[in-house]
Amino acid sequence: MKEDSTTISDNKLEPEDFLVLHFSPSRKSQTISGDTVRTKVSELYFFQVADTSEITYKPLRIRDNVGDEVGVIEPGEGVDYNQLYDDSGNDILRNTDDPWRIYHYSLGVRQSGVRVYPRIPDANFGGAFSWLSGSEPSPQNGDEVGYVMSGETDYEDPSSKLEGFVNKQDDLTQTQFGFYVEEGEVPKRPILSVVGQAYELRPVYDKSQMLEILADLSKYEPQHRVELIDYTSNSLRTHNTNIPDEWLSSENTLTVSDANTSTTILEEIGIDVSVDDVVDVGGE
Amino acid sequence: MTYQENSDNFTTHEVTGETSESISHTTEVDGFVRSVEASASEEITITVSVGGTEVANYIGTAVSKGEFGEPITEVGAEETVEVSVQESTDTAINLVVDEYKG
Repeated sequence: MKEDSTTISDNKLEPEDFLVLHFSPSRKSQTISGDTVRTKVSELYFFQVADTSEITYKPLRIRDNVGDEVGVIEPGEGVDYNQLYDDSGNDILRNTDDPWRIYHYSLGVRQSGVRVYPRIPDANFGGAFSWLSGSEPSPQNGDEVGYVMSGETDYEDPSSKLEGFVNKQDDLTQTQFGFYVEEGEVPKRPILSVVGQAYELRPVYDKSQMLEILADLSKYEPQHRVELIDYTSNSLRTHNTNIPDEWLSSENTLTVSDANTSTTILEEIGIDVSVDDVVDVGGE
Repeated sequence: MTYQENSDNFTTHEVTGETSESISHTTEVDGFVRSVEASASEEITITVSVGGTEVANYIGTAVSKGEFGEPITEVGAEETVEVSVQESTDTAINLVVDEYKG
């Protein structure tokens, strides 16, 4: 989880800016210094923003999958992980139509004293944080890890600590949220907001341009405005990701690791480096 | 207790009463008891209760307690705030509760 104090509007992209979506990490065999090891390898997908629009959903109540409101949460009690639903039981972040449209959003809570626990469920797709399903943080128990306090978010312009994105999925969105009201607070009926942008995207498929974009991420004065968003920050699990077929066809991706990426970027931007220790990246 | 000084965040509920009435407001959403005011021809005792528990009491002929930014107490969702007056004669009382807007 990010430790900065930026908000979702600070990270807003404009048309012609670049977006890198980071699906991390899978495990692949890699040859380093003559030895084959299994290591974490990330998938990066590159896009240029063609158009943007604001997305805002507020006020939003905590509801179940038939649209019934959870209601008041007593101090010391919580609500288990679930998608965000409207009063008709629709997953409000669903994105089922367009592979070249994504939602870039964050979640805010109007009241203080409410813990927000984000996660991607232990399923075929995703798998957030480093906990296995049996020991992941429980919102209902108010576990002391894996949450963002509502005081750190802002209802009108939420913190980037709960930033995420949604690409085209065939079913419900993968990210879920649990909530807990801290001991000593009054009973609360949380009022939530989802705020961010929808981006219309086109793929970046030229490898040298992809590497330039990656290099820009670490430059003080980048050539292009670039935003990198993690899908599964801090994940230590092996998992599959739900990538639209259209992305795969466009070949707008790099498979990268710490071992090969930094060197390749440095080479791309004209800095001579030794590559003695970096040999190969192979498939699983 | 966090009470943001921005009225856009809150829906304000105001209740008034006279003479020996007690007045009350039941919240829908959590919020704050912003203020209690009372005036009487003789000295009176005003009691503020939330969910049946007394949280404050005041004595005087002209009581004005709490304001925006410095509320009397936080109040949970679906709880009843009651202001009652003892030994009242010709009393006017006023209660203002701010609930988070949603």
